Amino acid sequence: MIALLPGESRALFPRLADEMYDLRLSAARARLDRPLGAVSRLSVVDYFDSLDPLYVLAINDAERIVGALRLLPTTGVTMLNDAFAASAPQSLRIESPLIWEASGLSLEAIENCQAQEKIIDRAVGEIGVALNEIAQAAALTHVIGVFDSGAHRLLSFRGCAGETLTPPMSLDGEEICVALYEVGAAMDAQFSYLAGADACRLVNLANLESARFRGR
Amino acid sequence: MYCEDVFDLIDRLARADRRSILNSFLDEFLRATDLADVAYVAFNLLTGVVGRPLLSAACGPSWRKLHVQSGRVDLGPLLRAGLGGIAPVRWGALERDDPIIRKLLGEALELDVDSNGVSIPLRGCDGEYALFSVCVRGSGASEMSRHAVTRRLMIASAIFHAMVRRGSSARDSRSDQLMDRELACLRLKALRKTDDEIGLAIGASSSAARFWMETARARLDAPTVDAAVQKAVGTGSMWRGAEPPCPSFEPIRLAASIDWRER
Repeated sequence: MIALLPGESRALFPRLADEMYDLRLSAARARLDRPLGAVSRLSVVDYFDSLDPLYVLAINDAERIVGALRLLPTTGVTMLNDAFAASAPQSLRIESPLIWEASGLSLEAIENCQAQEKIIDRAVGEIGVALNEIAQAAALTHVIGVFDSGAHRLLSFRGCAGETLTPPMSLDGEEICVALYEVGAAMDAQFSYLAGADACRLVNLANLESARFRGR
Repeated sequence: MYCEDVFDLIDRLARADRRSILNSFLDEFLRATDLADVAYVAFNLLTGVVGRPLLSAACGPSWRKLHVQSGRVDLGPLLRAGLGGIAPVRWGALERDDPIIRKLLGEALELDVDSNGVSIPLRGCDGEYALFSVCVRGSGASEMSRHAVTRRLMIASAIFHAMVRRGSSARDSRSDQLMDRELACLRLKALRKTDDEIGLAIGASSSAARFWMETARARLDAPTVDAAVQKAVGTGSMWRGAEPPCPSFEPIRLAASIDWRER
C-alpha cells in the first residue's frame, strides 16, 4: 500500500512523519554499520526536508512504514544541484519543470534484507510504481534518482536502478549514485513485477495517523 | 510566529508595491501563448532591491477587474489551492466542501472564467515559491489530451516564472549556457536524427537523449525541443566550438512568438 505525505502537511500527521524519520534513521544506522546512538535523527533530517517535498511511503499489511522516498522539483533547490555543486562534473545543473528529483530512499532493515526480502521487494516495487504514476499525473518526462550506494545496490539487484547519469559522487563520505528514469511504461515495467497485484492501493493519511494515535 | 511578526507582516503587505511590471509581463505572455485567465503569485522572489518583497502577484484582465471592483486581493483561495505543494492541482479535484475552495470556484464562475482550471506550484532555485493558476477552457485544450495540456501548462508556467525572475532580479543565478551533452543532442536534433540515433551518438539510451534535450529546452526557456533548436541556432550557440555540418546549412527561422506544437 502507498501513502502520499505532502511535506507541508507534516504538522497534521506528526506520528506518521516521526515514523518515517525513524525508518530513515534505522536505515542510516544499518548502512553506516554504526552502533545505536551513533547516528541521531538530526543527522538524517536534512535541509531538503525543510523544502516541503512530497513523500511517497510504502505501507505494509500491518500499516507500518517499510519504505520512504521524497520528491522535489528540479526547478527549485535539490540535492543534485545544490549539495553536489562543488563536486558535480562540468557544473552539472539539471533544471526543468518536467523533471523531478527522488532522494532519501529508505527501506526497512536495509542490512538484514535476506530475511525480509519479500517485504523489501514489495516496498521497492510499490514506491517505483507510485513514483511513475505521480510523475505521469504531473506530466513529467523524467525522474532523477539520487541514492546512496546501499540503496542503489539494492535497486541494481532487483533490476530497477535506472540508467546511470553521472559517475558516483561523494557527500559527507558517502558514495552517491545518480540514476535516470524515463516516465512511462518502461519505468512501470521495472517496478510493477516487484509490487505484486493490488499492492499499490492508496491509503488515507488520516486513517494511518489516527491508528498511530490509538497506539496501534 | 511572534505578535510583532504578524504586525510587521501586515505593515509590509500594506506597503507592498503594486508591481505593475508583473502585469505587463503577464499581458505579453498571454498574447504570446493564447492563454487567458491566468493568476500568478510568488513569495520571496529575488529582486534587485534591498530586501525581498514578500509577495509578488499578477492576474489576467478578468481577475484584475474583480480586484479593482472589490478593492482588495484575496489570496486565501490561491494559497489553499496548492502553494507549497509540488504537483499540479486540477481544480476539479479540489475538495468542494471546503468553503475557501467554494469561494475560489464561485469567483471564477462569477467572472465567467469557468471552474475548469489547473494550479501549478513553482519552486525557484533562490528559494522562492510561486503558484501559476490558469483556466484551461479554450486555447486549443479541447483537442489535446489532459496529459498534453498539463505538460504545456507546466512549461508555460516555468517560462513565465523565468521571465519574471529575469525582469525583477538584478542578477540571474541560472546559467543558460548549454552543457556539452545538451549541445550535442541539439546539434543532432537539428540534423533531424532520431532519438535512438542521438542516444547512440552520445553513448547513451534514447531516453537519456530525450532527457538532455529536455534540460536544454528548459535552459533556453523554449516551449518545445524544436523551438530550443531554433533558439540555439538563432543565438549562435549551437555551433560554438564546432563546425556546422555543411556550408549550405540554412539556419532555421526564429519563431515570432511561442509555438506550442508538440515536439
